[in-house]
Amino acid sequence: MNRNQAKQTLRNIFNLNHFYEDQWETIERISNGERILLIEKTGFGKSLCYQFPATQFHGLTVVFSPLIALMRNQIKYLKSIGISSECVNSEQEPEENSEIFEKAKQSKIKILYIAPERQENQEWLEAVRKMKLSMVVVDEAHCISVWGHDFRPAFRRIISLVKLLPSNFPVLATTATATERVANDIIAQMGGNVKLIRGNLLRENFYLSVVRVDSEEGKMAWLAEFLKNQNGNGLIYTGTRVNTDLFASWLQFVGIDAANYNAGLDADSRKEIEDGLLSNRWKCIVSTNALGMGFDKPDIRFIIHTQIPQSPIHYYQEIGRAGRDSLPTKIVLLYNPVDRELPEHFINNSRPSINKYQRVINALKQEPLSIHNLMRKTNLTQIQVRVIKTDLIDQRIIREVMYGKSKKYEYQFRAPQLDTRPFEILRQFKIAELKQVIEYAEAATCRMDFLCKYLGDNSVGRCGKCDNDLQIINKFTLTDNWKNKIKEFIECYFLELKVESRNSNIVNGVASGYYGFSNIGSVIHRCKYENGGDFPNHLLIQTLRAFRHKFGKEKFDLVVYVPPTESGDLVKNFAEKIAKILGFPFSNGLKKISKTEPQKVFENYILKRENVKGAFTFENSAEIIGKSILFVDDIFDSGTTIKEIGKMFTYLGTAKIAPLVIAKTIGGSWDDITKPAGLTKRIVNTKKDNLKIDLYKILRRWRVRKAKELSIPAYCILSNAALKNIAEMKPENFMDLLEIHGLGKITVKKYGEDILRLVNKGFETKSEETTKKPKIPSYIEENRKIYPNAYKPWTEEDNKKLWQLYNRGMKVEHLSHFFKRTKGAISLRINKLYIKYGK
Amino acid sequence: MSDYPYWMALAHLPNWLTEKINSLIVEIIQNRRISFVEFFELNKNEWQNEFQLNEKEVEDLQNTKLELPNYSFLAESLLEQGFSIITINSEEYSKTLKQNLKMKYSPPLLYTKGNIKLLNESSVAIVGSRKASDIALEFTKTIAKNFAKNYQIVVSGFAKGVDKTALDATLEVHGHSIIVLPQGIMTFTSGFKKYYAQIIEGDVLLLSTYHPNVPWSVGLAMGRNIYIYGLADKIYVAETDLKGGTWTGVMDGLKKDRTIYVREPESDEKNANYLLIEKGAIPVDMDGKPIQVEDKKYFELQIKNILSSKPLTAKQIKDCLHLDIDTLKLSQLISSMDFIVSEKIKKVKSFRLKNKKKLQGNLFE
Ligand SMILES: Nc1ncnc2c1ncn2[C@@H]1O[C@H](COP(=O)(O)OP(=O)(O)OP(=O)(O)O)[C@@H](O)[C@H]1O
Ligand SMILES: [Mg+2]
Ligand SMILES: [Zn+2]
Repeated sequence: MNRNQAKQTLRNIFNLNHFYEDQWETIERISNGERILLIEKTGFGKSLCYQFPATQFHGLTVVFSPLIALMRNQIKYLKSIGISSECVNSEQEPEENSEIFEKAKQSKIKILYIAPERQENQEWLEAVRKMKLSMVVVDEAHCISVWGHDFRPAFRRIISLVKLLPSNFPVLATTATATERVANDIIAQMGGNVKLIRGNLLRENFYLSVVRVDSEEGKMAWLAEFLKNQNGNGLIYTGTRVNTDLFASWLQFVGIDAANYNAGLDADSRKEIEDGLLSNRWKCIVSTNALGMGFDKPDIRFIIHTQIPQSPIHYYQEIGRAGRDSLPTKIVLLYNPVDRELPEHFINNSRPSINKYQRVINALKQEPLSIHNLMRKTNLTQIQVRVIKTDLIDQRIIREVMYGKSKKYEYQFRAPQLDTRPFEILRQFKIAELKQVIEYAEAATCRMDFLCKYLGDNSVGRCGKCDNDLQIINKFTLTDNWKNKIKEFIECYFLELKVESRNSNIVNGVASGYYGFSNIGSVIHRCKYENGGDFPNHLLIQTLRAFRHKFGKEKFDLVVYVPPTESGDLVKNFAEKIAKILGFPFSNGLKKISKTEPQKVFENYILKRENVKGAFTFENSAEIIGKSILFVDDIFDSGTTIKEIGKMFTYLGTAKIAPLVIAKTIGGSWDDITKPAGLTKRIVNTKKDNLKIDLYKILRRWRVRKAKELSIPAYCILSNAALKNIAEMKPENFMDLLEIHGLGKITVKKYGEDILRLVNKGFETKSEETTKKPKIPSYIEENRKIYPNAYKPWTEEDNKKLWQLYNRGMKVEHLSHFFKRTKGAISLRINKLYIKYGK
Repeated sequence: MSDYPYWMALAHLPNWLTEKINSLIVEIIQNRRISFVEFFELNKNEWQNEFQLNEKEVEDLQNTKLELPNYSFLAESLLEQGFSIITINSEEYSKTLKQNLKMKYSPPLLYTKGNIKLLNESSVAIVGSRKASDIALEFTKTIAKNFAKNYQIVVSGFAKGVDKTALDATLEVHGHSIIVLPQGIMTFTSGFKKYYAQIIEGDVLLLSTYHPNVPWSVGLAMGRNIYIYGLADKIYVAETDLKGGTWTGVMDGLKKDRTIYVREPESDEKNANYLLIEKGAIPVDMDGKPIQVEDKKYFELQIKNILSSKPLTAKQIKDCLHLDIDTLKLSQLISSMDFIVSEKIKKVKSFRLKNKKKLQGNLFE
């Protein structure tokens, strides 16, 4: 096809008039089976370079794409112009994905978008063997390189794949954001033999500026002022998931139509917000960079960052979403010099300590383990396990192996020693990049020139539009008026507790605030651990407000509380007061029936969940069938205890369980702790301190016991200072112990084992078999005796029979007898049938 | 750039005989010295004329060519998971296998997991039926342990009975083993778990010649016997019936002039071990030691056997049977047997069986 013919086709299919030069060159070469790395500015039109050839090829074009939002955005466009395309991702139902594979096998799809992680999926590998392939595209190819922003380990496998593809098979890699180093890295990794096509990076319609602020409150106030006078719609980027919610709520509070978006939301909400963004449903969307890369919308009029990005490349990429229609567009970075501390902290702590790597290696030397069991065996957090396993795979120490449909990690024969040098090099590199961002923020010369130069384009010189070129100095000072307004906001900023799940009657609840906010955490801490007495009234008021905010005038049949572990009657008294004020009956019936460890001993949700499984019961279960329960606790952390209690109540036949807590900690989600943020900082620190204090307490208690046992004074065992040091250092083995100040060889010999057990409670490697067997909750066992049919699935026949008898007027009690199932199960089932069969 | 997808595409050409595939590979990389990429870029005519391929074969190749990107996906997944793909022209490929099976049967590709160095160590296979008797299993255990202790690789097929016993005994004494799988390598997940420790220690190599994804089947189980025999320098038969995999395998081995040892059966055993000895296998005792020629009955049997197809000189008989005896003395011994006649062929004294007709032609090839 010559260029003129192609132009005609371009008009017919894409409704575009002509190709840009670089587009045509790329398309021509692709059609000849070449391999291309295409680097062009954001919004250039890189997608067309594979979408066009894809329509001309006989077979399927597979596009590896790093973000789900980006996939959906592209599919939407392609479908609208009649090109059959689909995406496969983890947010779609497995059935839907399978259907798409089937369609692809039957050549009913031209373009298929998938995440690089799919390459680890057995079903995909099976399916792709039967597809007729014409081209492979690696979109946002900078993710291949650790020197790029947003390095994604899964892209490493895409590279191996590209190397194995026949050398005359067309491969296109595209990105806007590759420094020379990244470009070279990509080409080298692809095995050479790659043609580089590179354009300039200047975005002419951008008005770049930096606004100095001196606090988080300053940022909030500036945003509110800015948005009130700003035309059009835009994006606000925050550093963390937590902050997307905070800033969006704040903007709503001051009357601005804002939505929040992050990867932690459920798929439906995300889809809705993506659609709303395209149709300008909101003034602005507050988002993490999960909504970034590649997203194509013509008229984003402004992009504001409330937190410095991790590198100038990140920044160029993120602001690239704006002004793709070439009209004037405002780009603002809110900058507070102290903002650097947190990203710095995260960069310096982005990798777990070496002995944690060793823990993973040791576990895998014993047996192959799934990620789930690896977490159980090592008591490391999900994030730690993820980081470690990625590094170990990268260094070929372990591998991820398919065991049928599931994945396990295996230690390798002749595995090399762990090499930590690359970690340090990368750390220094990231620190250097962060310095560059600060340099950008503090620069006095053209900002566009600064960004383009950083990315290897020296052609800009002076854009004439940025604040420096126009000699504007933006500094924002906070007025008392705003200060008060923000205080007002924080007081009614409540947090949703997401605990709903398919097989439980628990509903989402509410927390009155974050643990680290406005000193809630320290107040709670004082009461719990320093004999501070009952939780003070202002917490009560705050919590009641949260209740009103979430549940309005709703009535509950009963208020219960989590039985105490270490806080004595604090929670009980608190819950009783709440019940009294709200006028709901109060109950002491929720009881613990088996011993549990304090949840904080466990680093990940899997072990936490197992710790509390079957640990609770409710004394008078007849009392709560079909009832609604308000369930009060002080701190919401992982939510595993609350969910377990929710399950137990559901089982007993409660119709609704709603949690209400004073404070929520920041969860351990990936974004929350890897992305820098202002407001989370204080919280993170408090949480860490608490852990130390708790371990110290545990150690002291142990010392008392030991002293009694040996009939010697406690101080003869270990000094307070030594215990504190242990709590601080969290030693993992004898070598660690010996290095702790205040511990001698003899002490370590005598008590080392005890201490290590306390510090790393319960993670001595039990065999997988024995740990896997779930202990059956005792209430379940009891019920099984009385109700032999409990836990058996309902058949269609059972359903019909039950509905019939129920309609005949038979009482739940008798039905329970008849079906040999608990009353709770019966009333639950009746509820379901009610929905199904109606009246 | 790696050639694996091409190798896989060729190795799994549907319904092609191994010999055909191997000779095409040899033609491409050895005789013409072109790359697979170049080969697959040739057109239909060139394939037909230059490589003497018929219409059907060319069509197969064209279809396979379309599957190359798909094989790339599969190869990537295999390599990422730590499997090795060993091509017949590589250093790592088992030399024993190549020598034993020649171009006709040597698989073009081996898929393995574990310590590939085991492929080029001296090796034995202990074979026998799935329902072997206790004594056969006892024998298997003893000799497997002996071999393992002498750093010999024990090749086994992971079948019930003798196979598993040999494997377990070997691993019990921390010996080395190659397990030849009756299925595609990716499907052997129960074994990944079971032999995890040995695999990561380098004591075990899993090996399959089949497409990595195919599940176990009877056909594949039968088909792999030839590779078990092929991978071993020496073959020991613990017990065989008159039919079945072991018997066919061993008969095939004897036909190919391989030395095969068989456990000497007790007089009341109901198996075909004795028959095997009559066919030319060397009897061994419970420790795997060959039974001495002084035992006249066996000696005569062996002579009968070895002369059943063609006349031989005393020297030739001595070599074939690995006898440790003076040639002259052997000659006298044989002459004294009543079922033997001697004659001069090309001026050399040869022996033949009495009832066999005099043979003509080149007897000493
Ligand atoms: N030849 C063309 N003429 C006019 N408009 C075009 C042309 N090619 C592409 N476009 C338009 O440019 C817009 C941006 O294209 P695209 O999303 O491919 O950008 P991109 O280069 O991938 O940017 P990013 O790096 O941000 O992902 C699209 O809306 C597309 O329709
Ligand atoms: Mg793009
Ligand atoms: Zn400028």
